[in-house]
Amino acid sequence: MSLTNILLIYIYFIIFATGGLAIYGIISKNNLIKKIIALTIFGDVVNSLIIFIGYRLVPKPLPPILPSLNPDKALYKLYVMSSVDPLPQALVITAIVINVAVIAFLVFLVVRIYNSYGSIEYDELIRIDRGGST
Amino acid sequence: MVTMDMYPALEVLLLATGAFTLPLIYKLFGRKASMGYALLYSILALILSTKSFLRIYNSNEVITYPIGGWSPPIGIVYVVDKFSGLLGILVSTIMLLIIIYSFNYIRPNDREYLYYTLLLTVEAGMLGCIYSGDAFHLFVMLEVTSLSAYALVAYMRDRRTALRASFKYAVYGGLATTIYFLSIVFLYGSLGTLTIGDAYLKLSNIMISGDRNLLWGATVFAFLSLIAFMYKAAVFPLHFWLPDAHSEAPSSVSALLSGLVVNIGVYGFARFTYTIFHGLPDKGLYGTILLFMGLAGAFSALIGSLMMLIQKDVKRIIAYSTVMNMGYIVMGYSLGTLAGIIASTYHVVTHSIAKSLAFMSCGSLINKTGSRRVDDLIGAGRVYKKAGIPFAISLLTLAGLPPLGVFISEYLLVGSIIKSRAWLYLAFFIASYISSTIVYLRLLYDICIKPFHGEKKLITGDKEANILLVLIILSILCIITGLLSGLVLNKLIIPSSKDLWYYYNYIKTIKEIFINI
Repeated sequence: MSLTNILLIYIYFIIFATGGLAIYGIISKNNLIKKIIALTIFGDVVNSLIIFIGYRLVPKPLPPILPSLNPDKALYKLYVMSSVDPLPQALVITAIVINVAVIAFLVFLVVRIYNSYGSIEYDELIRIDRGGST
Repeated sequence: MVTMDMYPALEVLLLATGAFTLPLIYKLFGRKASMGYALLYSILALILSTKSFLRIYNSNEVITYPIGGWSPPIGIVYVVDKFSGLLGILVSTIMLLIIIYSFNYIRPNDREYLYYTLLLTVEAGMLGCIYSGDAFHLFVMLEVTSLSAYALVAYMRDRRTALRASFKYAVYGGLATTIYFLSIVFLYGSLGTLTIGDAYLKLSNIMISGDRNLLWGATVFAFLSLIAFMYKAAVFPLHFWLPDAHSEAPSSVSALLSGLVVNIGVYGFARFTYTIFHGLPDKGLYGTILLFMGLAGAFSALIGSLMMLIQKDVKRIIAYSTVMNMGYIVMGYSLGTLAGIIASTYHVVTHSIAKSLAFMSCGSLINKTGSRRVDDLIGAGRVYKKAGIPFAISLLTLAGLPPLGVFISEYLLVGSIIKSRAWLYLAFFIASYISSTIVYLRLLYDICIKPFHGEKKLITGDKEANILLVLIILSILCIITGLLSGLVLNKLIIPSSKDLWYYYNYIKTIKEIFINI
């Protein structure tokens, strides 16, 4: 087994272990802020995974930009041989923007929840609601 | 020849524009103008979706629109067949009714315009999900829909239980959509494409060449995306958010969530299963997906109906009824037969109509009595007849009384289950049907037949014309989908189900507009 393979397996292991921990955190943590932190970690795990999938080692890389509007086949061939796939990065940018919106909304909710309940522990909230309704 | 049509893309773009300019209209021209603006855009959306559906229906072709002129697999493409077109009409019709209902239902306050902004965003997101032919674009639109839905659940932010329900919905919803994004990573990593039709072509190539590694990636993609759609459709193990979110939201939003937003999950499941995995040479993966979803649906039906028995809150009862009906729909789609698809598609339509009627009429009753508990609502429907009679109609429809809509779709569903000899599903169906009918009839007796105990409060100055109009229209739709079911089935449901089942029409269209490199 070569060093590259060991490194690959190591990176995959780290990514999936972090993802698993993040899901565990979202489900089991009681503190709402910790839940949100776990959600951001999970988002980052997925983002790094897709960057990793788009990664390739080329000796003399070219930027993934088509130089003319009507490229011929030779140009396409050159492009495929010597530049990095730009799509994963485009996906990651979109996903990061969306994640920011979700996190901002969640943090806003936590502020409102803290103002009206006086606590951000999830089972405390349930206890307060039960006490209030009966 | 491929029909290119800009209406579907224009519709989504127009709704997004409307949503983002609505606050400006509110600041400049005031409250009434912003409400009219929202109404205008929802009417435009209905016209455009009807127009594109008629175009598909008459030409019997799949219409496509590559955004920015970039053909797939490089660009994002909108692909609309009859199935998507039908759901688009359903979404825009019920959305229009919800907006009209909200004019009277939502009390005037200083952040009312945000409510209409969010409604338009939800509509744009849902239509984008339905019309999109690209898995990543579907992710973006799913996130647009979900984010606006979380915010709508927390719209009554002075009620703290609504905040808690919204947080629960949002944090697990964020997890579910990120899991869907993870599934896209596997789709792109294994098949190298994001277009749904192209994924099928690449997958069949893999089946021929027999590369097990790439097939493994496609399997992971299938199950991760199914988990995300199960969350969105509130199917059994992932249904826990629905009763809180749907009962804490304002009633118009509950109607939106229960009637339409959950259908997006079902749509995603049906589209992915029947367009990408249907008709693969190896039946193993396809069969496993169907079995997995079928069992989830069966348990969802049973759990939903059993939980309905013990609820004391009228909106929670109707919310659990959504869990049960989603179970039925998923069960029908996972039979893997054309009859099952027809039954489920019809059930999507009838259930959306009946469920939004139930939430809107019971929201009107709750507004009058000021309580959501069944004990406080006893006899309310008898006193406030204008909301009581539509509520009774919706309960009878949901219970499956013969001439009404849901009866026909459930009858078709039972027929297709028996035809494919899925006796386990039949047992789950009968058990949940009996237990839910008990709840519906008990609710009907309590709210619409028993005498009223409390004092009759006459709230003066309460305009109700719009609420009444919407309730009447929905009641008529409930009756029409039942009485004229032959017409509706032959003209609308069966052609759309056939478009979903015979996937090669969809694939052929994608193939024709491919960029040739």
